[in-house]
Amino acid sequence: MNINKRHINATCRNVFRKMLALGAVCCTSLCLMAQNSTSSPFSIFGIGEIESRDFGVSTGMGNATIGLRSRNLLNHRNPAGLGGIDTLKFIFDFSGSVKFSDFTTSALHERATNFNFKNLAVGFRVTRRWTVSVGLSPYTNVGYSISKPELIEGSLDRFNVIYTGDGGVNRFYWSNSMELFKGLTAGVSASYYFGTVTHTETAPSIVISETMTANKINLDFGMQYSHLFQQHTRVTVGGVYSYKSDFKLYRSQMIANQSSGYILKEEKIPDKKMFLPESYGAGFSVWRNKNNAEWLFSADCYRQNWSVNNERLRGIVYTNSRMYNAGVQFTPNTKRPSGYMEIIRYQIGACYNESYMAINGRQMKDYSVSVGVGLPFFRGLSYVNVAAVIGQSATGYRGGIKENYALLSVNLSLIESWFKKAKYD
Amino acid sequence: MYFIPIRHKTDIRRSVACAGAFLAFCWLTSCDRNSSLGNYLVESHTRTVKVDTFGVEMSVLAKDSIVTSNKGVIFVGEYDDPETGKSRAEGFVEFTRTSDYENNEYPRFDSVTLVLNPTGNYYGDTLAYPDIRIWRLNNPIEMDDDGMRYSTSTASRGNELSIQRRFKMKGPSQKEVEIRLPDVFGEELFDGIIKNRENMNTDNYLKTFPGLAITPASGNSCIYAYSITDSTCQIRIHYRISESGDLTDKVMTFKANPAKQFNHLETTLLPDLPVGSKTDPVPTSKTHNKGFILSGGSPLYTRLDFPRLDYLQTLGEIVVIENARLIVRPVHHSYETVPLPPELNLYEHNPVNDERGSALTQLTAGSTQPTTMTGNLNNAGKNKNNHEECYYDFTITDFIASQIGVSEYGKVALSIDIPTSEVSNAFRRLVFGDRNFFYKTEVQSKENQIMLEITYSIYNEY
Repeated sequence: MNINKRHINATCRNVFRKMLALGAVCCTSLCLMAQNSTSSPFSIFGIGEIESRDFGVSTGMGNATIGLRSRNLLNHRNPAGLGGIDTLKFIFDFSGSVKFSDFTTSALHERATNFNFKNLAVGFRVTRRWTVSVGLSPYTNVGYSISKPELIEGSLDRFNVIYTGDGGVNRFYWSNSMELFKGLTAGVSASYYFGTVTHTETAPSIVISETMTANKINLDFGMQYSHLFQQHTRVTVGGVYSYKSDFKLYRSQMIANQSSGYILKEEKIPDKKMFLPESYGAGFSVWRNKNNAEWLFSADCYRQNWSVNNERLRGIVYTNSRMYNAGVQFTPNTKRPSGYMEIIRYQIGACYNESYMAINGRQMKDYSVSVGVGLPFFRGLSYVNVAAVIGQSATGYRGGIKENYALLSVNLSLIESWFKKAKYD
Repeated sequence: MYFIPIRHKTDIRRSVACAGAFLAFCWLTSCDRNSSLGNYLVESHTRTVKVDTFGVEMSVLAKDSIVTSNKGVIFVGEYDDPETGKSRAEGFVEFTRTSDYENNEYPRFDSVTLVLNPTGNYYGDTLAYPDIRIWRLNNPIEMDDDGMRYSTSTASRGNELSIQRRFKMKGPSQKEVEIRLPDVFGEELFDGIIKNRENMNTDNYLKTFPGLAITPASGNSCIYAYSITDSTCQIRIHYRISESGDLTDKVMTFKANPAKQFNHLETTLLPDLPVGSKTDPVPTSKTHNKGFILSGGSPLYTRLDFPRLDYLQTLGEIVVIENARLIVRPVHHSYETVPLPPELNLYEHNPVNDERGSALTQLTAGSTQPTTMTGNLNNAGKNKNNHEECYYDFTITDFIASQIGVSEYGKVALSIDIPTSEVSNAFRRLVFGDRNFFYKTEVQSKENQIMLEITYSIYNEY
């Protein structure tokens, strides 16, 4: 009896600690989201810079996620991929990244450092066939501060107008995966897009501030089929689809006197009407575990028809984007390791991305390679996934902006056995 | 399931801590800064324009009188100013009795002198020597009911003392001048003091010697200022006493009483300078397109109206005044014989009731208390050969912004003048052109005209 009480108290304390830690991480991540630090001139366009990576476990594998399924993986891109989560597991996923950019044009050379919260999600299996995941991630980021000298008419003097932007659209999603038949899962993800983007123009005497607020619910769909061959090789194929839908941004404008702070004008202005693009993608993965060594190869492609949006900004227009990702993961020994190094997951990958932006008729293209490691801890159940990505974004247009970047992604994947029944009452 | 050995757990914790610290460092150092990158992506919704051709309407006014008592200075002289007219200045001073004389039975008067100390301020032709007349006042100086005396005030002077002295003084000299006064005056004063020394209270003293009036002799062509303090203006009676058969030189000193001094100032304006009163300002179109500021004499000042500011409202949906400068430039060569005021003030002038209000103020950096806005003569302007840089500069952004879109009853004019505290302390003069003033060429004319330079930003809906 005493043993039972002690056991229950210990279990309660343990759960309480975990909840407390989880709450602390959630609060921290929300604070980090509020303190989002982006510095990219392209984020002035549209609703901000759209993040193409999902910054989960697979960042080191070139973000090839659509065909990926694993017991420990919260698949942010394909809801059907949640079907692989272990029955007893509760997965908590948190990601952040720091990006060092080096922008060059024919006349300028500047560096920027971006620090961004990328993802916060939890997932678990509700029934034998139904798995859910709830998460929060930035959909777009806006962050720029551009100084442009303007001539004072009637004189030779100049003054600087400062253009700044901040905020972004966030995505809160509820993803569901349902196993239809053995190996075949279908997924649907309901996303709520929300957030505020602010563009401010600060002239010496006038400050013009435009605020756009997003408020939209949308659905994404996914399928995956997985088959195990000879107990050591699993092949998974998957696909995702999102339909085109209206995306309205409610806008307001405020004009104030810079020196006195007096508001000269404050009004609602016509809404910005955009579309979330029709998107589709397909991918596959091959998992093989033989002689205790585990190999995982994954590749996918993904397309978004952004050209349905007619917005244009000084030569920048939306265009259809395409992304090709591929990567390999290797774990030396998953069953009888002789040391810690043998249970680390080693990743390498590459990504080619034709961006949603075209500048002066040329599509921005992004090439990157990535390496990563998954460091297990807490009895090998949880992982810290660290990935480094080196890449380049450019239009190929001579004299246009070219961005060389190095990105460091850190993903914390906490996996707990919350639903394990006690051996005795 | 693989269990991590204890030693590795510590390493992992350290690794996680290091990764967290690294990310925190990156976050803290990823600060925003202005960049020129991407400036082709942005275009301003505002236009900023600088215009220096805004109309300023000027009219010249004269003050009825100014307080001249207790200023520590008297003006003496005449000057026929070709710009404004003839000015004449007379000074009246009371002297206090001192007790620094020897109580000796046989004092013998020797001589009497008046000591004056020029302040260096002048108005007119400094090549001419001062030629003054000194009068004994008939009665002690009496202040008006308000305790002050004005430029229109005078005092009765007798004709029993009438001396005229010319002394050498050139330019803005500050060298002490000692003028010999008639012995008759000195003996009378000395005897009166000595004989009545037992009953010499203040009233008796003032009856014996009420003070002096110092006036210009005819033909003066300059007005000079003299400092009136107990040490700078004195009457000295030199006498001798006999001590053991020896004669010893002594000095009896009468010190000026700064509290009992004033100036009588008058200006006969030129016939073609129809300066108005505050209720009847005369536009500068009738004063040869010139505005005037004159201290001393018949003080002149100039009212400034800005009638076309509302035009700015029509330029855009929102118009914000970024900066407004009022630049006042003296007419070339107008300040060679008369010094320019070192500083000017702007005063609000309500055109409805013609009341001159308070001086414009401004907030200076680091202070929460507004201070009087002062337009200082540009340092470079002190070099008379550098006329282009000779001007007074006021930043009147808030005032101009407050006048846009205001109803007629809310309109406020400005008057520009020498600071009130300085207006009767020295003779200064500023002659400046209005927007139509012409000086030899178009370009040179601009260097002699008042200018309102406004920088404004316009926002138009996009």
